[in-house]
Amino acid sequence: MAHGRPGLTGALLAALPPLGFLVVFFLWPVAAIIRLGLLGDGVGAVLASADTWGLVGFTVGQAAAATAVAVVAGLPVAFLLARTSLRGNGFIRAAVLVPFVLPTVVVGLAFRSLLPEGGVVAIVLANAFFNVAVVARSVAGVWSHVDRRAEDAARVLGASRLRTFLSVTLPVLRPAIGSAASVVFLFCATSFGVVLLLGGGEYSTLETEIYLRTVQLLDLPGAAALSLLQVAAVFAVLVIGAVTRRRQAAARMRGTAETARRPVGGEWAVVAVAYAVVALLLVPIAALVVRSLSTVDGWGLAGYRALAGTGYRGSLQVSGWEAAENSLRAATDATLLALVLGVLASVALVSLARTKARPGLVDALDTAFMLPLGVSAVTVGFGYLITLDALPGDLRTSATLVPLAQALVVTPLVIRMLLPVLRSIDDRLRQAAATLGASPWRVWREIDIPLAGRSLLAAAAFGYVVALGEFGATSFLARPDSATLPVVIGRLVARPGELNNQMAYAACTLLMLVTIAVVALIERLRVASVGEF
Amino acid sequence: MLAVDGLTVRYRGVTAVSDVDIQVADGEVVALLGPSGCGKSTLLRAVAGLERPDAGTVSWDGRDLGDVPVHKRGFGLVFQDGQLFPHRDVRGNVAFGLRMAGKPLDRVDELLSLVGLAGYGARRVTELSGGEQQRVALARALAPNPRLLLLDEPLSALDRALREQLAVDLSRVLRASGATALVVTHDHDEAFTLADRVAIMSAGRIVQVGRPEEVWRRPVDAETAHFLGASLVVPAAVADGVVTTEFGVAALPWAPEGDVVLALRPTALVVGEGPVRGTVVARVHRRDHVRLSVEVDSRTVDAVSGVGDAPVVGAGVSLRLDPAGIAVVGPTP
Repeated sequence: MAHGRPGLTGALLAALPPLGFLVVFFLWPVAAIIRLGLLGDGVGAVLASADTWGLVGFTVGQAAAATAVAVVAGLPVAFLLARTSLRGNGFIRAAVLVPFVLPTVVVGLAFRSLLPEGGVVAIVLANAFFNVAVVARSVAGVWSHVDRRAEDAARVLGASRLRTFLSVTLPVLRPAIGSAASVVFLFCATSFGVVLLLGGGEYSTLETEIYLRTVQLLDLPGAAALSLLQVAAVFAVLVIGAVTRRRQAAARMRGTAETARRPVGGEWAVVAVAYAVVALLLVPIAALVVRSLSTVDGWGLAGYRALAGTGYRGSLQVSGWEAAENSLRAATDATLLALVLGVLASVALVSLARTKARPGLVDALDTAFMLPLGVSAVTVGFGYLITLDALPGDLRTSATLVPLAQALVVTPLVIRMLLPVLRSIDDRLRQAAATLGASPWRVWREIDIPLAGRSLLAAAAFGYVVALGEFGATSFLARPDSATLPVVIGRLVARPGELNNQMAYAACTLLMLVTIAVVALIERLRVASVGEF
Repeated sequence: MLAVDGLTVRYRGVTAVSDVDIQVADGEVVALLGPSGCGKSTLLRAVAGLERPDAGTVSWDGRDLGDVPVHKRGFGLVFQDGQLFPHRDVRGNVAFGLRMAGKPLDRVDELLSLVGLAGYGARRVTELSGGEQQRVALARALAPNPRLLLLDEPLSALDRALREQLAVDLSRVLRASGATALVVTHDHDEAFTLADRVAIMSAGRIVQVGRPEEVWRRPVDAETAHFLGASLVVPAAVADGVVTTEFGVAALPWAPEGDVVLALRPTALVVGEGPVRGTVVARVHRRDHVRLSVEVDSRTVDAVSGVGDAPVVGAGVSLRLDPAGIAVVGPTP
């Protein structure tokens, strides 16, 4: 251990818990679904059915449309954040992040209050609303480091501003835009809560159909076949995304400060569009708050008061406040678990890269840890239902299943936020500490942890809101008496009664307030970026 | 004392360090001098314990360090670009090694004055200039009283004026602290300023070890002579301390008698009264002299002249031999 392969054994030991978790709570359930899908005669029948392909068509179509909207809306905001030094950019950064971390049910409900008819337009807009942040922030991250002098050179050579953007800037940004778009497409294609709330009975995607077949039609082989189809599609998109990401490193990078300045001339028009986008992003949020306060008898707090009860004619088995308590408890457990697993995984990946281990091994592990981000939460939740019987302790009916599933979703986010920071620490800094007498453990304590501390805190906060709002897997796994707030909201809007609606809007507003508070905290920590998607 | 015996380090099939032997006595400063890529930094890292040798040993006072991890070797290391801890101030950086060793921190101010940074303790390291950062890095490495100080191109990242100033300071600090040190550098001025002995490395091997003036005057082969700036190789004969060449005669009392091979630095040929005539084909002004390319009998040689009376391109000049620029190539007996 003295040298040569410092900590190879340690790195592999650190990788064991997250890998074990991944195998038991992800690979096994997903493999079981694939097996179930392949074994029955479901696959053939499902694949041959015209309904299936209609479903696939709608899933892909709405996701593509939402991605296009998100990219078009996100680029001006990316310009504003990356290239201008205007007052208020900090607020803009935070404001676009809020929709991204809002629970899906909250977004679904916000758009329902705006467009009560629901339908395709509402679904596309809601999915785009979520993901403007992904485009704006990840493209801005690259844009702010792109050397501005190439653009200056093009201008000096006689290119107009637009021409310069199209022929110089855009080609440099294309990999970042492509990568962001593939992630957005993935999020939209597997979006569950939004489609469930806005599609009514009329529109459904693969994701919602899997849920309906499992929960309402009890058609497990059919659901498994659809899951199989979805896993295959997701894998394809992930590979495309990985390929575009690999090409991204080529752009010449500079510090941020040199590239941001006051906008000039036509740039103000772009800035105006960016402000309009941000204003539009705030509309559904405002509509939700307004709706939660308006009752049949004018303004009032009826919805909030109703949270103490179980809804109109006892629609629920828990009160709103009990559900909120369930949410907080599950999200806390999930976040703690995800932090432990995510830190271990990041440490393992960083330490492995430092040894003479083959780079392929590091890449493969990295991709494996990211898999849960790609596969839909509904598929995972469904997988738990058909596998976890085999584990001791009757896990399937236990309340611990919810935090476990949430941790699975949150862990990749923690890794994505922590890993770039740990990787950016020059290895010679650690070596300097070692030659000054710091043991390997002490090096982590003195160098890595202080330098990555803010990112760890931000990852915890970010993971917490994601766990708090997790809907897809939780709605499969939560029992009626352990329902979380998003599940309760989903249940309330599916039942009749104005009180239920009121209560749902009030619950959404509460969830949103928690989310905004956490986003404000993340922004205060001034972490460079929320992950490298 | 440090002893490296038969050390070999390979990187993915490429041999970076090949069968190297070298010793550093207590209180001695040894420079590893060689072109970039010759394996000198790898050798230094192997001594620090940051690379695993494929063969050979690193030992201290006769004890093999093969099983001693980096943090227990008690060796200090200064990187080319400081590698100060960005989350600690100057004091926190210098105190780091003392904290690791559980020693009192009262030496910190003393060390900061030693490197000429008294009163800098509370500064953020990101606010320091490159030269100041290197001084802090040196103080940090010296603080825990390492038994051996390893310096990896300590001055290379600095601009030239600063580099020369800091080389003198570094030499003073090393002497004042009585440090035993191994310095890696590709700059022979730096090596000769700092070191008691210089080891020339080439393609993973140490080709020559000796006192600076010895290495300067008697490079072991033409390649080493070339690396040390003497590119023109000419045959010569030495008799009674006087060397006779095609460019004339010069007094070399230290040269071995008989037939020898000389390597000439540009400064060995000076415009003045001499037997060789040629035509100036190019000239470049340096700080305190002018470098000339002179065509002599259809070959071009480097020469120098004073700044005031530098001949123009195309002028005919005669050259004389200056003994200060002459090296005798070949192994010393």
